[in-house]
Amino acid sequence: MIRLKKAGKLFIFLGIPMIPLIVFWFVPMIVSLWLSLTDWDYISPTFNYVGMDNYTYAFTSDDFYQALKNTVVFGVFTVVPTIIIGLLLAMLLREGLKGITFFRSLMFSPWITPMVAMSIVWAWIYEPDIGLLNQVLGWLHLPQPEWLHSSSSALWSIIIVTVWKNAGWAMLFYSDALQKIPRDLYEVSNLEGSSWWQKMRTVVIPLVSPTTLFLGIMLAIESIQAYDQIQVMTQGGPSGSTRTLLYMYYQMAFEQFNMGQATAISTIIVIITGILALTMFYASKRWVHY
Amino acid sequence: MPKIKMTSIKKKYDNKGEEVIHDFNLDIEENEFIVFVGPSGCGKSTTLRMIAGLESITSGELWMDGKLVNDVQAKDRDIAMVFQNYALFPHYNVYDNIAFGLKMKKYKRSFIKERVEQAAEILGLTKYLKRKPKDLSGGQRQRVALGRAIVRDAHIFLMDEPLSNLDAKLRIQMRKEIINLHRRLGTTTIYVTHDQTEAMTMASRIVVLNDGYIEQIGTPEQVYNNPQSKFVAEFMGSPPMNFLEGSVKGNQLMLDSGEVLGELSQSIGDVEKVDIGIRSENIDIAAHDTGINMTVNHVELMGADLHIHGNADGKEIVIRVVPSEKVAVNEQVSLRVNIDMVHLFDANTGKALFDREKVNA
Ligand SMILES: Nc1ncnc2c1ncn2[C@@H]1O[C@H](COP(=O)(O)OP(=O)(O)O)[C@@H](O)[C@H]1O
Ligand SMILES: [Mg+2]
Repeated sequence: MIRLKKAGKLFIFLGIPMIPLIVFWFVPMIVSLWLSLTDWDYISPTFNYVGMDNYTYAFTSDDFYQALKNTVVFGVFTVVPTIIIGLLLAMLLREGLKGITFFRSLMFSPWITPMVAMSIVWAWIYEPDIGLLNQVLGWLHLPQPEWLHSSSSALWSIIIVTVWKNAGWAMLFYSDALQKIPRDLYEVSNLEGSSWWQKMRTVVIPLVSPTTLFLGIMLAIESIQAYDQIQVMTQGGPSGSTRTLLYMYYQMAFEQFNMGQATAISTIIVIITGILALTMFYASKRWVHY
Repeated sequence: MPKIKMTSIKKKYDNKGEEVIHDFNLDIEENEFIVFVGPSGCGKSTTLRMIAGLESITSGELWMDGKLVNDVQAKDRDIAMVFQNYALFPHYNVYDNIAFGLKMKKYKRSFIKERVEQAAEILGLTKYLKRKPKDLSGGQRQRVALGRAIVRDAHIFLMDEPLSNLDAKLRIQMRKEIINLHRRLGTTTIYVTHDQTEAMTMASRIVVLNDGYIEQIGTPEQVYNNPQSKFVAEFMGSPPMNFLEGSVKGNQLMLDSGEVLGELSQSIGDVEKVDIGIRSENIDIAAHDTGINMTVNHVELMGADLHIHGNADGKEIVIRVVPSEKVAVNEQVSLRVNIDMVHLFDANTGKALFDREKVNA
């Protein structure tokens, strides 16, 4: 009887919350995995089972490797700067400063603005001839790149927008983490003559490391899933220079209607995300101090 | 030349209207162990932190080794400080915590190792060098904090209530260790505490603070035997000094109830209202009726002493007698006061009316 009650409780508290996970995540995952072994074209009622062909194709195509490289570059160069800028902003906007709430809200506002809306504005800012950015650079007699229109600068332009959007969000978490650092650790540092960088290395960075891990994982996942800004600003171009794996998946599925290959890419994305999160999690044991 | 000289130091926090330290004057000699003692909020930490350079000095002068240091940065004052909450780096092990100051100053590895191991030896931490602070007991953490202070070979140690987070037994042990450390190193030390026992047992000189003012500066004996104000008399010593109200007329010390306590051996003139301070050891139970009666409220056997708490002349008092004394709760006993040991304070100003030590000398 007691056992039954326990099982019932277990079902209520664990089973019921699992239902949406099973319905909306697990089932589609299985379906997607199965689709990646077929050549379904999204419309036809029929398809063929093709085994690992879609995967073999992906791993032998240059486009795939270019997208993989773009994803890695985009990931590293959005996550790392966002974290650094977020931390520096949080340190700059310490408690006690006048107008702190105003500055914080200002920094945070990009985060609450939809990426699509922001991307439209930035697409204009980046416009080589009439955009704001090149106007300013022109006044300053600095070189005026083609930004979104050149395959050598397009990805970097998107990276800048993404960092700009997320830095305020990271700042908010760091502000909270910084507040929790005991004041006397700074005082010891002052007494012992730590330089600014020594304080960063011995106090700030280690003591905000749990926040850094959290932000690192969240931002890495978000970077892999970046879509809006690419769709609005470049649609993966010019010549594939801003096509990430996720964007490649989207193009294959909804432009080329090649569901088999698209879902194969999506499976690879899920695996990469999983490996990344796990690695960061395990590596964190060495540098994250709770 | 004093090691530290403080003249007319005042402190006002930016975010707080009133001054919290008023006109602080003190000379500290080399090798002294000075204790700042006073109730919480009286300004002990503030004063210590001004000496450390962690808090700015609003006005007045702070001299160290004959140099004015008001505007010298904390790191250039060559001071080591031990904090109440230890202020250990949670992510470093004991070795790295002790080595912290030396590492920041970029000493050679071999030198650091030697110094840290030596400090660990002195403090009995050799076995724990690899442990993180969270795996240490309170007493061990406190020793690590001391270790970080002593490896630096600083000229001055500052300690802000370093033992207040420890349990009673450990506190007594660490008290001894700190005194021994001071004997061994001879470093000029300023130690802050709200615990008068710590002050009495550790200090070479005590500075009693109250509400931002210095009440008295003196050796433990001076402060105990010759309190210069009612505040000091009440604050220092355990159990606290007893107070009765009375007056002095023609050198007769009288209680307000009219009973005569005795004749003073020194003439201080007539005083209408005095607070009469009597330490618990200077009152006895009299065999005959003295006219000063106490109703016993409760009795505490402290081992070597018996503390009898009761009411006399409308005041709660404690007397300390030999344990063989037999008294029962609610019993009325007659008290005999040792008139040669009473302290008299002006009831209005709280200032001592005479120096007990000089009179008895
Ligand atoms: N950072 C601060 N800002 C404003 N007031 C403070 C600050 N630190 C201490 N005070 C005030 O100064 C007075 C003395 O405090 P403190 O030196 O900490 O006392 P103690 O160490 O003797 O307990 C108190 O009234 C306290 O409220
Ligand atoms: Mg204090």
